[in-house]
Amino acid sequence: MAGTGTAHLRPEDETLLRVQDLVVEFPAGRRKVHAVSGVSIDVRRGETLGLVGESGCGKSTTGKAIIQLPRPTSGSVRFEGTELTGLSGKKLRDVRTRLQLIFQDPISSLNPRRKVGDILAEPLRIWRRGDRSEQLAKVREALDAVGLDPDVAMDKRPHQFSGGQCQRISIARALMLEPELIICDEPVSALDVSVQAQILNLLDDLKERYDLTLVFIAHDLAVVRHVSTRVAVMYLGKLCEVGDPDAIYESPAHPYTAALLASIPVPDPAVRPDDEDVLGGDLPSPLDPPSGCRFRTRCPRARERCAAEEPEMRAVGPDQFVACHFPLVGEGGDGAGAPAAADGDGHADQSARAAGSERADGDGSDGDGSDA
Amino acid sequence: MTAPTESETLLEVTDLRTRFRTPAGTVRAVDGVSLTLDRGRTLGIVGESGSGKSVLSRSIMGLLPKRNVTCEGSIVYDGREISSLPPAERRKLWGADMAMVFQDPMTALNPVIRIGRQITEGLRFHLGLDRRTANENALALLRSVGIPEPERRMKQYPHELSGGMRQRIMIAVALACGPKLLFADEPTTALDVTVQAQILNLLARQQRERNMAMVLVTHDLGVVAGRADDIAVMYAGQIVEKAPTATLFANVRMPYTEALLASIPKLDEPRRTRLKAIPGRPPSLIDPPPGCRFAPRCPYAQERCHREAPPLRESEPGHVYRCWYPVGVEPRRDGAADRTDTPTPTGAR
Amino acid sequence: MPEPATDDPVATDAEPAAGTPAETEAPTEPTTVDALVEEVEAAPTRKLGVLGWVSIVWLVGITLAALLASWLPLPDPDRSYLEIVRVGPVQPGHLLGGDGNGRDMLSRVIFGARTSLWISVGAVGLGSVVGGVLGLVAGYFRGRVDTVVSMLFNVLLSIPALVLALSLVAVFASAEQDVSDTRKTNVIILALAIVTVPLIGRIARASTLSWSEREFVRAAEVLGASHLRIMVREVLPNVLPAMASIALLGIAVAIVAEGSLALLGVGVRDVPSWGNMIADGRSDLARAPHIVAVPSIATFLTVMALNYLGDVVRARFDVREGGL
Ligand SMILES: Nc1ncnc2c1ncn2[C@@H]1O[C@H](COP(=O)(O)OP(=O)(O)OP(=O)(O)O)[C@@H](O)[C@H]1O
Ligand SMILES: Nc1ncnc2c1ncn2[C@@H]1O[C@H](COP(=O)(O)OP(=O)(O)OP(=O)(O)O)[C@@H](O)[C@H]1O
Ligand code: SF4
Ligand SMILES: [Mg+2]
Ligand SMILES: [Mg+2]
Repeated sequence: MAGTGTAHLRPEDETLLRVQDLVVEFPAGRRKVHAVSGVSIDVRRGETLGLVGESGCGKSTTGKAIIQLPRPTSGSVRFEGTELTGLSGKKLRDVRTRLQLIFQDPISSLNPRRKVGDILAEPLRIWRRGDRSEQLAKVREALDAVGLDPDVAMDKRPHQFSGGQCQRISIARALMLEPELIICDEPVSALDVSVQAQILNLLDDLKERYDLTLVFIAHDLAVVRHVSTRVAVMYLGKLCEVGDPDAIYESPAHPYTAALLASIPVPDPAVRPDDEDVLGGDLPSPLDPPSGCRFRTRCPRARERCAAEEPEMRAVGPDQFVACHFPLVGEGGDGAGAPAAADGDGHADQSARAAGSERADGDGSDGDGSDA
Repeated sequence: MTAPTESETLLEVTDLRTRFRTPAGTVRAVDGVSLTLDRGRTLGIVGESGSGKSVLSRSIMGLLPKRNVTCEGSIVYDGREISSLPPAERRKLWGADMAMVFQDPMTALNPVIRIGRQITEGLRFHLGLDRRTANENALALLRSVGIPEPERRMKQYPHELSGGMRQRIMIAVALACGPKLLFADEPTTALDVTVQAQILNLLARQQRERNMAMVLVTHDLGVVAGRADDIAVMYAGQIVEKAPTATLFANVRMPYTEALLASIPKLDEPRRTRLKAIPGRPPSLIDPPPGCRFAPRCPYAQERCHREAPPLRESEPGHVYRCWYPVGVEPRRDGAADRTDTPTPTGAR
Repeated sequence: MPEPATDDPVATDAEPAAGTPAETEAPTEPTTVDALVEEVEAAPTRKLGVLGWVSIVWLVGITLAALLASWLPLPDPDRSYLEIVRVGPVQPGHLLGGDGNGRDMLSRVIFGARTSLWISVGAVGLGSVVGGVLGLVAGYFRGRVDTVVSMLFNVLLSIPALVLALSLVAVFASAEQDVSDTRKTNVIILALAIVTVPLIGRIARASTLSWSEREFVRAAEVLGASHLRIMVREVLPNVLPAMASIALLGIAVAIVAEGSLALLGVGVRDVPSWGNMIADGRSDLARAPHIVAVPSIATFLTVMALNYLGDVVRARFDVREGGL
């Protein structure tokens, strides 16, 4: 798991966005933060890709690297056949109008000193699209589309709105330039469940209405399920599992995906969560990621091989790809003596639940102290 | 989780009203809340942002700002009326009797003080321990909340730790003096799902070991479903439904609770089904609607709902709700004709 | 309270389906409850209050008087009236009395305001523009630009203000060169401006550093705005309040500095300024204290008013930021 490889990528001419071997590193003193280490994803026109993973695993960094903000350390980002990593200046700015990002924090992504109408008109002014009255009309249309009353909202400043409303304003701003692809960075993580549902529905409506392609970042698989046509699970800067959501939710192949699924709280008192942690410990430091499979320090199925060898992305179903030596579905570890085959196949749900207790002793020693 | 049930009541709150005076008018953040909590039990308080959950817990703790606040009603803790105690007396209850885990672990920990001192401070102040014993206790505590290498962590500052780790520290600080009642105010809202599960498990384990009562505040019914013995649903400063957990989920009465449940994304629904969002927003707490406070957003609301405030009614022992036309009660409506008059807000279906 | 519960009916938060603004919600309120809460709690500092108004009235009054000095019915500030030599305030026709040479104090203090305010406002204005631009650029681009600019600020800061002014005056406007007063004024403005640059610049830089971390700056970049546009439109408006409050304090300091230069004998000489009035009056301090007192009080009131308003500006600014 948490490996590299491009087996899951589809032919390039079918995709709108294709990211290959994306690496982003940040300097940290003499060392490096390995925020994203070789991520490959692609999105077809009209698709919604859900990108899921724990806090700090590099989801935002991936999203920002796609729009070259900051530029990735290496790797390729192709949007409609244009390589973005080499672009600069005016050309890059041109491409960005077709590729928008909605930021994680709705409140801090709006300038507190400007009025909402002003914030929304800004992109049109930058690109000198239309005259004043046309711009105004577009602003009103966008506000209306995200469910805010233009008459009331235009002249207010962001701090006069709730978190959910600020998120609507950011969405409206991303729509102003009529982009083809929008990357939504955890648009609902900071919101209440009830408001979250409003925003998710809104994004779905807008997608239909404006013919959008979305990359939807979240840390909760349940949230992504409602909007995605394809799901990618990330762990510590690498991909674990990619594929069709139905397959992944039905029978997760990666132990981490299974753990993520099992962590979702179920609104049903009959499902009493047992006290054992499905996934113990913390995310290891991206300064010094584990060798081999990055998940091995917390993985219940880890063996020696996981420390020695990095798993490559491979198919375990028609549209399900996993980077793991001992996946929960498929023919276990590839080849002889794969111990996972015995307890692995077909019982994804149980394995996930049991994951906490049957913790095999991978050589991961730290980060795993939470069973009392 | 379920703990040895003593029928002995630890906390009894009656008709609590907390108001804030602001230039725009009086904010009735908590408006007539009554609840009881037995030793060792867990009460889940659920509601949207701004419904008054934090103000309620803070009112009971006595942690409200000093100016422009009034707090009325009775709070009986362990057989003692504490609402009328002077602040200094109430402060003595903090730590050893009641403690609180705050919503945001970053702002609740002091950024310039080492973790170790933040924990030992309470021990030395409340339990009068000397430095060495306090240190040993703190180490044991950190170990018990699942922090690896506690010796090293004691010397670190809050910003050097991850969000989940900080919340564990907060829990350790709260548990330090062995409180009988723990308020956990959205302890996991700032965290992601896997860490959330860890923290909730930790709280459940600690609670069982210490036979501690807990008030678990959250906006997600999923979080309390498997973990609370009773659930109180708050809306606009009031409790609108309260019942033992199983009863609540089996027979939801209040349309608001129903709507909250429906808005949670679920794994067992067919993919790409539209979520059932609650339209609109909670009402102003300065000038709440005269009738049912949920009426403007309620799909079942009828004329009476907008006019008259529904009282808290009991449907079965321990299950109370505040609604004229509760879900699942027949005959449900005054007349079918009434209902067709009231357009269902867009998106509720 | 992480997410303010907005109680104003801006949104028709219902489903946006088909663009129908859904049902309207009841009463209209101006702001969020949380914003109001902050308003109450911060009221003492945020409101202008009586002192604030007094400060504004004084500053506006003195500025107007200084600007209109030539048209006001005042005696010539340079003319000597023998009858009021060293005579204290409240004389017929000479409200504030006369100085050691019998010149009208009221007239001199008003003409003096002209010089003092021109020097201090000019110096701080110039310094703010230069410092602000440097700070903004350094904070926005960071990296090498920032290193160089910060070093420049540190160098400038380590030069004692008076020494700098003394040497500049000595080099460019020394007594021997017999230069005009305008030139001397300009040199003093320049000297004080150089001192102001790092003060304002560092504030601007620090503030820019934190504001340009905000995601709305990234957002503008994603929308394709140029760096210049982002600096001017997104960052600057947020940085200005911090700069303004420091600039107000800076003007106050510059007024005092002009006085100090006059006391050291390098200030302007031919036209009255509060500084040279005080310097002139020193020798008569025992016999006619009003000669020093009148310009001192004028200086004192102006400095107080500026400091007070500077605090108000800062308090306002802090609250706004806290409310976000
Ligand atoms: N500008 C930066 N400089 C140094 N390290 C960074 C920077 N930005 C991100 N990182 C680090 O890179 C890693 C990935 O961060 P990122 O923000 O992409 O995570 P994320 O998956 O979006 O998490 P979250 O769910 O919390 O938003 C983290 O360890 C983070 O600390
Ligand atoms: N000090 C205060 N002064 C005035 N109003 C306040 C104050 N504190 C809270 N309020 C108001 O009281 C109401 C209830 O706030 P509270 O913090 O209890 O909500 P909550 O249910 O905890 O929401 P969240 O999920 O966002 O934490 C809100 O409308 C809030 O604006
Ligand atoms: S009282 Fe009426 S408006 Fe309120 S919840 Fe019940 S049905 Fe809905
Ligand atoms: Mg992120
Ligand atoms: Mg709260």
